[in-house]
Amino acid sequence: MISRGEGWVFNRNLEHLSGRFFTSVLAPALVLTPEFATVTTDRWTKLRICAPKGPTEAHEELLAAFVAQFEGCGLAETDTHEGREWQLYFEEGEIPPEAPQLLQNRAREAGLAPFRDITTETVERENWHDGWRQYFKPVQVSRRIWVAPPWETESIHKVADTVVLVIEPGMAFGTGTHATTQLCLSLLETVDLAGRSVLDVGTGSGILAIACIKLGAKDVVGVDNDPDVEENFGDNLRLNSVGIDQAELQVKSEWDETAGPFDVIVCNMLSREFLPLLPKFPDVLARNGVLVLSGFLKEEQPEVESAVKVAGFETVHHSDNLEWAGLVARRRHG
Amino acid sequence: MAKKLVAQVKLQVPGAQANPAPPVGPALGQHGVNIMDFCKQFNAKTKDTPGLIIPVIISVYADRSFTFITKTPPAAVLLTKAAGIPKGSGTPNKTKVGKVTLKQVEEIAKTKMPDLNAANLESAVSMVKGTARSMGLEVID
Repeated sequence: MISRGEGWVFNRNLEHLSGRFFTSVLAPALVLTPEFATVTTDRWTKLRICAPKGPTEAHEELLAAFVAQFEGCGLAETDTHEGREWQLYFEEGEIPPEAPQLLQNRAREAGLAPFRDITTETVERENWHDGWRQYFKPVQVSRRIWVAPPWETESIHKVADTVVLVIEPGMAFGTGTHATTQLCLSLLETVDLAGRSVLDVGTGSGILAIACIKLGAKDVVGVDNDPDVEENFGDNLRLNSVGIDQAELQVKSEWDETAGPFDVIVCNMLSREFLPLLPKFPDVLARNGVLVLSGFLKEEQPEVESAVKVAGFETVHHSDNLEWAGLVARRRHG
Repeated sequence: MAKKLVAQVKLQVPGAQANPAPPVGPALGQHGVNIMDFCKQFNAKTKDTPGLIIPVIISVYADRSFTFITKTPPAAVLLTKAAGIPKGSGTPNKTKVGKVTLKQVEEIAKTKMPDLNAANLESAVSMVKGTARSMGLEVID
């Protein structure tokens, strides 16, 4: 029996969830919004159905109608080397034992090729919900910086100047595992950020802005043209105990005069996105200000370095990771 | 940043009722997707059609982040609901198992338009009529 709006009772290990989850994800479910359906069974019947050669949409429709009629939990479709397979799930006892024959009858009566094989099995409850967590382990991205999911921060062997960036994985934004993010983090570590003000162009999840604060920056302004980043940015600040007085997000569709000057600009975007912005960077950067740039391909390095030079910077250091490259440049005098 | 796609998962789940049980749990868990996050987003997106089976295609990327698209419910599902076929009836056979009105068929065709390969509403209606017939449903005026 599935009912809605009663919150999350499937996971018996609620205490493993961080407090943030409770407030931002679970709490609304407990009030009004049916964000989660409750699971109140331990056993399901699974019908494993092998499609005939050249399965049609009509086969799929037939199965979906069957699930709907028997108030099933849903179906999954898998393409294996032996052809297409569907898995239909019902709470135990919801379908009659003769269900396979019933489906074959329906296929025949609808004038469809018969299913190759239909088997029935019982599925017991597992901790699917936590299964995904095993994929996320702390990653050391540079000498000082680790990126870790919230439940793994304790497992890191920390030394005095270790910096841990806490990121909730699975969001559709930067999770700290992409090569250019790691590259940018390791470049930031080479820059003296103590007491500096930073502009993070294309901030997204805010991971770089948070890193700057944790590496000693005084404050950071993150700019992005995508209003959807707002929630993610805010969540990540809270996860990392970075105050909104330290890191501010500005969403703007066009580059304009962002109050400066900043001591450091960090920018991790694709080259076609940052190249038009490069000439504008010196306007908001202090004399001797530093630019940390990443997100371009190794093969684009000559083009990027010459654009950086034209914009009034001198490259002092560059680095690469897989096919990606990054650099640190200093604003030239005059 | 172009992300590397590692898996595409195709599911059909009742709208607004996704939970970590099957089929969502086993299908997404094996790819390392944050199941709770998916359920939350899916249920928010399908809150207007609770209980109606919604096809959803989930793209899973190398960093285990995901995106998904939902489609309109299968015509057969909408027809089953419209005809009020009782749960567990061991049909159809040669006899008709239920009835739907032409008006209901048109409603369903309208709902399905975004996903049907139909030039106009008229041909969408005839496609839905065909599905109804194959299910043993009679279409009445």
